[in-house]
Formats: sequence, structure tokens, C-alpha cells
Amino acid sequence: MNTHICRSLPLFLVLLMLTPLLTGCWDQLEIEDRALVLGLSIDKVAEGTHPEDDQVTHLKDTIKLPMIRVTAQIAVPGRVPLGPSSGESGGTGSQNPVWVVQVYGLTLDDAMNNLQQQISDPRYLIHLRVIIISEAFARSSLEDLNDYLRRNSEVRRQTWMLVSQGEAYKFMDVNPPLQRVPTLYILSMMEKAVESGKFPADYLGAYWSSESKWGQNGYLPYIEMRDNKNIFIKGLAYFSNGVMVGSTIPIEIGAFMAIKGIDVGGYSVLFESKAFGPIMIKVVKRFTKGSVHIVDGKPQITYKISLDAMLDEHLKESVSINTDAKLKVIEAELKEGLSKILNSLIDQTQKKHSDILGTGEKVRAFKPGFWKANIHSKNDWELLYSKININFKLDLNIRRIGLKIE
Amino acid sequence: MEDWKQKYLSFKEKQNKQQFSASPAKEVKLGINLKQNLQDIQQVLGEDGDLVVRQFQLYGRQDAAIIFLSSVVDENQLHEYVLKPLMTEPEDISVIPSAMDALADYIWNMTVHVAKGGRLSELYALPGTIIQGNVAVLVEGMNQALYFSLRQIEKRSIEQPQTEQIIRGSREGFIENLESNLSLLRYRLQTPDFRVQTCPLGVRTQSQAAVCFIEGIAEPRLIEEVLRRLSLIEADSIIDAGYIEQFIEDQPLSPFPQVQPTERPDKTTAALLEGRVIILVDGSPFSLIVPALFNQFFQTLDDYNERFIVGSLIRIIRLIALMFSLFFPALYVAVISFNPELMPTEFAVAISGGRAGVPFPAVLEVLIMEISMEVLREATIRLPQMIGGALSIVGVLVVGQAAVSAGLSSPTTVVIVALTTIGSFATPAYNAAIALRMLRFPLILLAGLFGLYGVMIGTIFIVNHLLFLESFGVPYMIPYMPAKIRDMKDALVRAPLWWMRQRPSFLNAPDPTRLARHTPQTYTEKIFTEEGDLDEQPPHNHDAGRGGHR
Amino acid sequence: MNNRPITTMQAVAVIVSTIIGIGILTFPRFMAEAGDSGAPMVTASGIFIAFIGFWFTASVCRKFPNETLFIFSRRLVGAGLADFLTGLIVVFFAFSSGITMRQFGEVCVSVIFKKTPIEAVILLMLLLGCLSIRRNIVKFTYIHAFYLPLILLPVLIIILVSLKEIDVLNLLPVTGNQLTPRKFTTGMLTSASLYQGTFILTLLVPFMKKPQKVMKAGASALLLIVSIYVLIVIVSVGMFGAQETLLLFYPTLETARSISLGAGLLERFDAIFIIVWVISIFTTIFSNFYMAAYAFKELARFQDHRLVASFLLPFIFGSSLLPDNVFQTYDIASATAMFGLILLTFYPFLLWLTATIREKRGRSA
Repeated sequence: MNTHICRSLPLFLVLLMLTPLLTGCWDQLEIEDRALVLGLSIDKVAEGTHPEDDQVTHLKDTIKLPMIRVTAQIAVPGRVPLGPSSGESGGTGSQNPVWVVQVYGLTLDDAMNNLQQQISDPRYLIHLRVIIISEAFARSSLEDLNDYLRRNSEVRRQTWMLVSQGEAYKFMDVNPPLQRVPTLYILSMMEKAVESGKFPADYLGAYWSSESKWGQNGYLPYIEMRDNKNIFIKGLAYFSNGVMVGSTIPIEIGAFMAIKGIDVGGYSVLFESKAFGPIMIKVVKRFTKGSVHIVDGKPQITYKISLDAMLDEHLKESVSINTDAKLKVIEAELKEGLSKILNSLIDQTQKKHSDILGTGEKVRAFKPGFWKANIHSKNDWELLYSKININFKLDLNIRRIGLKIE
Repeated sequence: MEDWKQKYLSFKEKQNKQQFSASPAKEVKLGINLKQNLQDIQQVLGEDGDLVVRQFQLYGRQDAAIIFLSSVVDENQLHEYVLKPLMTEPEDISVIPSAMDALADYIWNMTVHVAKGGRLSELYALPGTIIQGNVAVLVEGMNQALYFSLRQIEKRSIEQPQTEQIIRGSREGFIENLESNLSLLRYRLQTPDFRVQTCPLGVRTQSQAAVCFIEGIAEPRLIEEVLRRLSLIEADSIIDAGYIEQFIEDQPLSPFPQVQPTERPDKTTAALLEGRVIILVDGSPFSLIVPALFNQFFQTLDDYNERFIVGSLIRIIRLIALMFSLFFPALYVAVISFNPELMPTEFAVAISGGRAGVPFPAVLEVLIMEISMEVLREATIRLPQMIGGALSIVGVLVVGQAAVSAGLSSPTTVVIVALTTIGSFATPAYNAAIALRMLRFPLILLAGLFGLYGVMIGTIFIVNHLLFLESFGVPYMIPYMPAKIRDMKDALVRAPLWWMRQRPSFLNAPDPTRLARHTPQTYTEKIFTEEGDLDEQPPHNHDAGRGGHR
Repeated sequence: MNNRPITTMQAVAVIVSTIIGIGILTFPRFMAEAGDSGAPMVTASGIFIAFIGFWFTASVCRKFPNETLFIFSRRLVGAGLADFLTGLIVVFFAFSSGITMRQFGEVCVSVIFKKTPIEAVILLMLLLGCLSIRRNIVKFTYIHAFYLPLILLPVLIIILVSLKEIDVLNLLPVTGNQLTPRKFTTGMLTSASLYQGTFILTLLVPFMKKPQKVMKAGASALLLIVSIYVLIVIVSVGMFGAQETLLLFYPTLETARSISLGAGLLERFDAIFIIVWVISIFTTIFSNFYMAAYAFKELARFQDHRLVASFLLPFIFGSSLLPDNVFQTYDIASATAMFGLILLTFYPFLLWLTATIREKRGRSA
């Protein structure tokens, strides 16, 4: 028996050494004691309209930076009931489950420090799901944002960053009827848009990755507030040289997804057919193959886009669509219309030097020799992108027409 | 104890001396020399503590002996109907024939008043006959033995074991009497290779202890080690098998049991047949199975008695329950107070709502709830059975509900604690369940200190300990590590019986086969023809060929 | 139990779980630095250099299947030189344990424990290692073999889950856009320095059931590891692109952070990944610590390495606190790794050379 005790003596010594560890639960912080920031909005503030500098992280006038306004949405523990809501608990719904705090600061970090100065619980970004920036801010510079959010280990790469038309702070205060928490409403809206093929999975991480690549520019969702409570996905906000340079219209999101071949088609196209009148076609499947050739010392990209579609609506009852041949006619007409949409997207991005399609990456991957010789910085490609030829070969098939035959 | 030492030494000596075969060869017949015959039989059965060899004078003039096992024979009847008539000197000596054959006839026909019995002249068959509860009579000069069945198996209120309930299987449990327990085993193991070595243990209690094993299945070195460890015990008293367990286990400081106690004779028998050694002690309804490994804790006989698919599924469920009871509260604490980002956002927001009024940190909350649960559990065991059930329900329902509405605990915590407790009761081995239940407290503390990192460190520590542990020289985590593919068939899942043709490899059984190769697995022949009227067919002897026993 | 219970599979497991460790988090960045989109190729090339050192070690150990390297080296190159080099090995493994612990602490403190002192994180792990070291080599092997699936499984799950997020364009051209011979060599050496754990087989050989199979065991272990490394690089670079990978301090961790499983059921893999990765760190530390303690025992000609382990603990802890900041940590770490690469290639080479010469001379004499 003695040997056992001898053998276990070191164990006790070690346990003794471990006791100092008991003094600290350094990182322990109960979930209800954390101010969980669910959403952030960032606005640019016009010179002279903002209040006094809070001077939380710096002395006044020691640093010259434009002021931004950050609005944070913080979950209030206890206001969101546990479990599924029952029908009669509508009375408690009048209480706002989130706390909206507005602060000013020179940088995002500065603003967050000002925020901390105002609220009791330590703020955490671990559940930050949505960041909304105003268009004006997006057009100025995103460097501050990109750096702070990348560096901070609390922020997930799967956060949504959206560009809003007009002021962004309004989005923190919407009162959606379906979701208890406004940010979660925006979040679920974007997630469902991805699932139903209305929008590419363009998380913050994806935006960063494409911004880092030399042969690609980033893009973000572009939204607009409707009726003070609804959010309208307005298009893609595209970037060049690190700042937003323009935005598309919603149908061009569909065009973009078609060129990228992002599957689960979600967009419908309404067009006037010469023979059949107005027709609505819904794209259900997308597949794209791109190829690169060097023609006359310039890369030329050809996209072969295959779309599967179905007939969704046909207005003119007098003309019926009931044969294969008629569908082929519609397909041919539709191809023309689609090409127009595709080209409009390409034209505007080329004009603004914003290669959101990542054609440059294709050149880099397939023509490394050309790339090495000509491209020495991201800027080189942005300039060259405006000059290259991008062609489309559309292959459209209307497979089904629904349950009605005329 | 001196006696055990003797036994250990003689066993060891015998192992060294020769590789003796248990039963004599088939051809050997009984001789006419009584001494020689007795010696031959004792060579087979001699170590058994319950073997009785009684020498006497047949009819007062001839050397004779009766041999029987006291644990399986009704001794009253033996005295009255066998021994007494045989030893009584008849008034007229001349009636007794002097020819040996005639003498045997005379004993059979005139003297012994027992219905069942017979004669045999083959030596090899005799030990088996004795083990089945027959009394053998050997006479000097007679080259055959007479035997009479006086079999008696102890029947004193053998009840269903309380601590190890199973759905499908025998309802018998051990009782306090060693003889009865041995008879329960003998009745299940009717092989002459089943060995029982008894000797008193405990200087003052002199409790009769028995080491049982099956010769030719249990590894001699294992038996040797058990006997050696027993021989080193010099305690004042051995009140229960638990005393012996604590004296012979490898690592007393480990929370994990390295000896498996069981109340079930069927389980004990199965262990013996796997090649393990068991220890019984008079006065204790528990037998000790050695070596005991981690794998055994979540196995029950149900797994084997039930069909293998069901058995395996239940076994996996039990393993999940075991994991639940160990990790759930610690993980909950770690996620709530260290890594809330692991929860989905909606849930995190809702949980923080549920905890909003609770005054304690999650660690403390969980610890308080867990400790009260343990108190409740302990109280339920001590209470008389009629109140116990009621109290536990009242306790759980009322206290839990009250704690939530008083704001002492969040509803989620109550769910977690309840799951943990229920999970811990799904582990069949009571002592292992306790060990795991107690280990969850250090894990909760570590979770409170370091979050998931602490839980992980604690887990690595426990797993390392398990990997280091040995039970009688067998690594505790076998067959997982070192990996034994052959034994994996009876680990996480329970393979079909016809697939487990061999005994566990790590027990090094001298005879590893337990199922003949030709035992069929499936039957494809049609017995009933399609047109035949099923009702008219006699119940066919369909299952006759199935090798039911292992 | 016989005297040589370690099977070849277990030997493979020990080597694999020893090698997979701290490097896994950062090395995609180094590889992307060296070969941008050709990072997987650079990673794979490292194995050739690593294999040289391993080959010499294994073949010299095979010649003396009953002793550890520390014993027979005395006969081969003389006690003085052998002891000096054994001393170097002790220092290297002890220091490398310390530096590994520091890197581990850095990750933990910057990602999950913002406020916990790094010393506490390091000390806890070191104590766990120190307690586990007090067993023999067979148990040491059991630990490695038991944990190996727990290391490989999460890595493979993360790889599988993220495979669908990979953009093949990021991996093209496979030779990289900016690859120069110089960059390639640096990358190759960095990659090779990840494989020093193979030296652990010197401890195993005297206990292996079939010591002649050590070559096979080591080679298959190296192949397994290189395929895992390449897969990890493919996933990181394929998900983020080479340029983005360069910006990330822990690319593999970011990979784990960027995936989610089961529609929000498991949203963030990073904490889970770090937790599981604790096991692989533990096995690495365990091996290095064991190696250092064992070599020290041989050096001092002690009977037992237990006391040595407790004696080494403060030194390892001290060396883990040496660097001032995160850049110094990684500079020291790569310098240590390079030193180890040289030491553990040339020392076995020296031994192999003398052993071969002696053998030849013995045969001719």
C-alpha cells in the first residue's frame, strides 16, 4: 500500500500547484451579462452636423479623421421570451427586445469604445450577424472597417455586410412584424434569398476574399428601406479600388448569377414577344463555363451559359403556346433579351473598372504567362478589365410550362 | 492467510510440474485398488473444497468409500438411506456374497434405498457423475463404482437481484450462503472442468472464500495471480466481497472499478466461460469478476439474450447516456459562460432571456442543482421502498419547478441536470456509474475555470488515466486500445453469437474456441411446401440443429 | 504481454499524431507566401527533404533493433560526441516543446481566452503532459494510438465540409504565378521542418514487434501526413485565394470559422476546432517532452525518466515565456524548426555513415 501513496505523492503536489488557478475565472462571463451586438449600421456624417467628439480614445484634435455614426442593436436579455411564442403573448411584444444605441466616432473601433462607455455590460461582437453601411460611407473608404473586422476574432466571416441607399441607421430601428429582432429579420431575409437563388452567398468573408484577389473586385448587397419596415434588395453594390463605384438594378443580380453559374435559379424575366405577347420566364437552373483566349495581346473571355427555364406567365390568351416549335421561338427571342441584360451589367462594370465577375482570376489561372508579363498590381487589372472583350454564348431551354396548356 | 498461501504455492507448483489434462483418458477403467481409484478421482476433483471422500467399512468388514460434492448433495438423505445401511453389519454375515459382482448386486438390490442411480466402470465418467449430484460408492477390490442420485440444489428464497435488473434472462440472484451460490453455479456449469477452491479468509471472521474458474479456459497465470493476491491478505475481517475487492485491485486511487461485482449467477457463468476468474465469499451475495475492463460497464446480459441488432442498439444508447452523464453539464457551463458564440443567435438571445434573473453564474447554478440531485438520489436509496418512489418524483418535479419560478435556476439548467441524472442511471454497472457521475464535478469546475479548454484538459486527463489503468495485467481499455479487432465484435456493438466464435483474446484462454465452426447461421431449407395446409403440419423440429449454447 | 508489444500500426499512429500539431494552423500562410496558387505543390515537396532525415534515422535504428539511439550512438561515435549530441537533442526537444506551447497559448489567448493569462493556459497543458509522461513507452504508444482518430476525424470533417466552398480557380495554375526557385526552396524547407516528429521512432524501435518494419511504418506515416497537409492547404487556399490567405494569421482556423453545418446548427467551428486541436497539441507536446526527458535520462544515465520530467518542466515553461511578442514567437519557432531539421538530418546521417563503415570494415576484417 505504501508504494501507492508514494506514487501518488507527485499527483497531490501537482494538484497543490493547480490551486492558484482556482483564483481566476478570467474569461467567464455569463451570457446574460454580455451585451450581444446583433447588428451595426455605419453612416458617414457630414462635416459640422455631428456632436462633440467624445474623446474616449484620444485627445481632441490630435488626429484628423472624418466622423462616422455607428448605430448598434443590442439584445436585451429577458425581453425575448424563451421558446416558441404563444398566441396570447402579443402583449409583451410591444416591449422592444433590442436596445438601439447610437454613437459617433472617428473609426469603428473608436465608436465601439464610445459605445462601451455608455452601456454597463461589456459588448461582444460574437453574435454580430448584419452590418449595414450607407452608400455614402461605402463610396468613401472601407479600409477602417475591413481592418477592424478582420482583426477582431469575435467577428465571423459569415456576417452579412449590406450597403443601404440613404441613411443606414434607420435599418436598426425597423419593426418587422414577423421576427422579434430586426437584425434577425434582415439576416433571415438574406439567407432565404440565397436559398431561393435571389442572391449569391456574398458574406463578408467572400467579399474580403474577392477584394484581396488581384483579378477580382468585391460586391455587396444593395438594399433600400420601404414603408419603414420592409427591406428591398435593390441590386449589387460593386467596388473598385476599395470603394463603391456603382450599383446594379435587381434583374442584373440574376444576370450576375447566370454568368457565375450559381445554381438554383431564382429570377424571372418578363419580356414582350412579337408573336405571343408579354411572357414571363422563370430561370430554374444555371450552369456556366468560361474560357480565356489571348486575342491581339488582350485576353478575351467567353462564357457559355446554359439556363433551364420554365414558362411562368403568358398574358395573351388568343395565341397559345402548345408546341415544341413555339417554345423554340420564344427561346430565341428570350436569348436576345437576356443578352441585353448581360451586356448592360458588363458595360457598366467595365466603365467603372469593377471586375465583380472575377474574369481576371480566370486569366491568372489559365494564362499565367500573360498575367505575369502584364499585371503587376491589382490596379493594372482594373484598368485592363475595361478594355477586354467578354462574349456570351447563351444556351436556353424552356423545359416546362406549368399545368396549363393553351 | 496460510491456507491461501499453500493453495497458491501448490497451484503454482502444479503448473510448473506438468501440463496435466483435466479428465483421465477415455480408455482408463476403474481398477480394483480402492486407494488407487480414489487418488485418480482426486486428481481430477481434488482441489474442489466441497468434495467429500468418506472412507468406511462396508458391512463392517470391507474397505469402501463414498465420494460426493457436499454442495449439491442432500446430506440428510445420504446419511439415512446410503451411509447407514451400508455401514450396518447384517445379522447374518453369510448372506453377503463374496464375489465382487454379486456384492455389487447385493448393494444395489438389498441395501441402498435410493431410486435413481447406476453403475459404471470407466474412470473418466466418474467425476462428471459426481458433479451432477450423485454419490459414488467405491469398494476395495471392485472394479466398478455404484452411484446414487441424491442431488439437491439449494432453494432458499432466491430472488431477483435488485441492483441488476434485466428484461430478458434468468431471475435468480446470489444469496448470502456460499454453498447455495456454488450450487447455483454448478447447476449452470455442469462440467468437471469447473474448479472451486475454498479456504477461510479473515483472521477472525474466517469467512469462507471461493475462487472459481474453469480449467482449460482460464489462463493459469491469471489464476495464479488471483491466488497470490488473495494469499497476501491478512485482514482481521472479511465482511463482504467488497473487502476483498479493495485488497486485490490494481490501482486503489482510481475512481474506476477494476473488479466487477455482480449479483447474477448467469453473468458470473458467462464471465467464467470467457476465461475470467471469479471470487465468492460466504456472507456476500456478490461475486467478484476479475479482470474487469471498461468495456464491461455498459454491457448487460440483455444484450446477449436479445437478438443482436436490438442488443447492439441498446448498447449504443447506453454509451450515449454514459457520455451524457459525464459531459453534458460541463459543456453547458462552458458554452453558456465562455463560448456563447457556439449557439445559434436566436437561441443565444433566448437563453440569455431565460437566465436573466438568475443570481448565480452558470457554474454555481449547475453545481447546486447537480449536488441537490445527488442528495435526492442518495436519500431515495435510504428511504423505505414505498416512500422512495414518491419522494423522488415529488422532489424532482416540485423542487425543479420551484427553483425555476423562484429565479434560482434557469429552465435550461433544469433540463440539463435532469438529462444528466437520467443518463447516469442507464449505466448498468452501479459502481462505474457512480465513478462517472462523480467525475463530472471536476469537469464542471474545469469548465467554469477554462471553458471548453478546461473540459478538454479534464477529458484528456481522464482518458489518459483510463489508458494507463490495468486490471490484473490486462489493459483497461482493451479492445479499444491496444486495438483488438477480434474483440471489437463485442464492444460498442454486440455481434451475432455465431460470429463470435472465440473467447476474448486478451484473456489468453488455453482453449479459445467457444462455438464450433460448423454451427449454422442461417436456414434456407423450406419445411412447409407452398400448397400444404399449415394447420395440418405437425410442429416441425425446426430448431433442432441450431447450436443454442456456446 | 511479451517484451515487444508495439505493433507497426501503433508506430505509424505515434509518428502521425506527434507530427500533426501546432503547425497546422499557420503553415498554409507560409505555403501561400512561397507558392501562391502553387501552395499545395510546395507543401508536398517538403516531404522529400523530410524523408532524407527520416531514412537515415530509420535505417540506423534498424541496424540496432534492441537499443535506443542514445545507447548505440556512444559505441558508434564515441561517448563524448554522442553525449554532446544527445544533449543538443534534449535542448532542442525541450525548447521546441516550450515554443510550441507558446504558439498554442498565443492562439488560445487571441481567439478564445481574451483575458486569461497565457501562463495559465500553458501551465495547465504542461502539467497534463508532465503527469502523463510518468509511464513507460508502451503506454506512451497507447495514448498516441488512441488519440489519433480523434485528431484525424475533425480535420477530415472540416476538410470535407469545406470542399464545396473551394473555388478551383484559386488553385490554378498549380505551379503558382510568382514562384521563383528561391521562394520554392524556402517553402520546401519550411514544409520539411514540420516533420521533425519522425525522430520519435528511435524510442519505439526497441519495443516494436517487428523492428525491421520501422521504415515502412515511417514512410506510410509521412505519406499520411503529407496528404493531410496538402488537403489543408488546398482547402485554405482554395477557399480564400492565395492573397487573402496571406492576410490571415491562422488560415486553417479561419477555414474552420467560415463553415457552418446543418443550417445554423453548428455555426462556428473555430471554438470546436481549437478544442479538438488541443488533443493534437497535447500529443505533440507529450512526444517532445517525453523525448527530451528520455534523452536526458540517457545522458545522465539515470534509471528512470520520471524525475527528469518534473525537473525539465520549469525549463520548458521558461522557454515558452521567452518571446516578447507574437512575431518574435514565430521567428524563434521557425529558427528552432530549422535547427531541428539540420540536427535531426545530419546526426542520423553521421551515425548511419559510421555504422555502415564499421559494418564494411567488420566484414572485410
